[in-house]
Amino acid sequence: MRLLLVEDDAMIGRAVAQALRAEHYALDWVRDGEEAEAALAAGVYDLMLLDLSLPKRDGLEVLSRLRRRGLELPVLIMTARDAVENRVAGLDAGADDYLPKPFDLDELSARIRALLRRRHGHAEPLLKHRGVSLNPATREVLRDGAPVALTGREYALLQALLERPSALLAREQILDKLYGWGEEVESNTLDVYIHSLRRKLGAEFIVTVRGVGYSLAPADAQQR
Amino acid sequence: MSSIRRRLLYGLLIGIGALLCAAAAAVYAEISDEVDEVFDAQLQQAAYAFSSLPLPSRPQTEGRESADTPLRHLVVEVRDPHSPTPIFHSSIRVSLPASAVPGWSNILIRGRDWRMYGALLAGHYVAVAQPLSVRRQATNEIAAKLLLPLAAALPLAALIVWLGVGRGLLPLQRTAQEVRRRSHADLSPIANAGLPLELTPLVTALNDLMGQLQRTLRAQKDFIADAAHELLTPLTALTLQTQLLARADDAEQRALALSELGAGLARTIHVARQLLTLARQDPDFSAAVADVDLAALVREAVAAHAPTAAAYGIGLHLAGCAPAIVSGDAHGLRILLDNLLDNAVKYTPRGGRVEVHALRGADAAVLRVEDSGAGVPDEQLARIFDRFYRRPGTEVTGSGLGLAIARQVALRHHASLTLRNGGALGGLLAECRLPLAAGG
Repeated sequence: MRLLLVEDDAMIGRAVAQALRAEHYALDWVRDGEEAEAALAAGVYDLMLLDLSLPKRDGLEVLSRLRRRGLELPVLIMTARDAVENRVAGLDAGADDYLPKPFDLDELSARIRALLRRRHGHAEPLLKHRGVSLNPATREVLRDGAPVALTGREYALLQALLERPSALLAREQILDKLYGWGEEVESNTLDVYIHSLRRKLGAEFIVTVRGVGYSLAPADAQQR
Repeated sequence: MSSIRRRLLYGLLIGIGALLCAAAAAVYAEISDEVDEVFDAQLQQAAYAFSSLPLPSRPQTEGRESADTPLRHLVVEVRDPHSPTPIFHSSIRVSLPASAVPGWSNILIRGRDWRMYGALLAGHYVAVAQPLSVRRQATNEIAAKLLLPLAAALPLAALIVWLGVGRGLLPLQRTAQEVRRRSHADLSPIANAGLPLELTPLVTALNDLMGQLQRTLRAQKDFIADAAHELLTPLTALTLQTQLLARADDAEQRALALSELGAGLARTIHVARQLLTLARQDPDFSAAVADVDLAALVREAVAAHAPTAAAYGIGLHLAGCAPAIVSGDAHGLRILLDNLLDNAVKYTPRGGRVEVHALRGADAAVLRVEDSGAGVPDEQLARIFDRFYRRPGTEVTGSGLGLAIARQVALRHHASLTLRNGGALGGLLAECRLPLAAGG
């Protein structure tokens, strides 16, 4: 999961970025409206955390322009402007949720999870496929009921695959979800993570499509 | 309490009353004159009439008169001009003076005024007299008929004046009602349209005052909202930092989180302090004014900022320090200097230079703080003194109040404070011109 954090305050930005990265999200942090638009142009994000009082371009404007371009990226506004009319304006401009400052990190995480879940059309908080279940709230992964220990990147990779179980994900797409800017990506890293996931979840759990990318093995009747 | 209505009523009614009285007096005088003329003519005619009548040979009186008959009528006497005994005498009770001369005279008979006409006619002296009270009565009767409607007009005029004044004062009442309807929450201007000319200046002045009040109230409300909002930002950072501290797994993370938390606390305190300072530097806030040795103040401020500058790797230099005495609040001026220095040091990149010049012009002390930083884009310069304005795209986490406070201090000291790009060091140049104290 790759998130875009748009926040002009250095302290708040640092804290949010640190907390979310610790939860295995890939996160990019920009500090004004123009940078936010430049980052959004890449189209790699699963969710945007948007402050409203931004230099250069106001957060609401960034949001309206995003929606005018027809992008359905979930947007969570976090702002100190918490008057009802501000909330209404934010939601009307196309925000999916509104979190007034100061907020709690746990609440922020929960709201992010809810938005991501809804984005992928899941009503249930658990992601399940072929006996493997992932709980985004606890970051707990079970295989046939037994807990599986995963590293942060492995967890993020598994989550990306489980979000859209029937989709074929290209290598670049997956890398975009796993790494923020400025994070070194080695050419064979993805192969290493895929390998260790197969080792932990079963060799047939992930299917390689040569020259394109990866997908999950189709769910079979007995497993469901 | 004086009342316009009462004053108008009294003034108008007294005026109208006096006018009516004067008119009545004039009319009465005119009637009196006319009546006199008519009655005089009557007397004269009577005299002529008697002279042409055959006279009795011995004195006689009209027999019909009794002692009780009121003396309304003419009294006629006919005499031989050389004898005091009348030949004809019309009244037994009244005898006309024998010494009477021809012509008009007013005489007193038995305590009453009489009008008498005497004439030598056909060899006889004929005198005709009548009490003046008769004509006075006639005058009064005529006057009463003529003046009664005039008297009746007085209360009518009073009523008209009462209504007219009330009507005239109606806009005043309406305006008062409008003003009464206003409160601190509703300071909308009172409608000026349709108001009488006399009220317009008052209402305009009121509207101006309310406008001013509204602006002040709004500014205060904005300030409180801004201040609360500005405190929310560091408080949000604090909240997050405490939570990160709670989540820290190892000593290293904990140490990092703690140092972030410390910075967050320092920042929150700074914002609160700056808010307090700003409130205290309000132009309405009175502080002790004394002669201030500006040169000493500048030296102290520069010395105080030297450690911070050194920590940021910035050379802070006092390039010139001319002695100058200004009249003002030393504490406020120090805050102004501190904030200018703070600003210069914060926004100048490591390895840069900040210079302070204290010059003395003909009538002003000039303080300059220059830096070798990147300056400020012109479109931001216009807003740089705004409260809570922070230059975008900078790492600096200030309160956004420093320059606003500096400007408040400058305003209080009738000093000018300008910021512009392109000082000798290539960065921002802040200049404050303070009027010199008398004899400074």
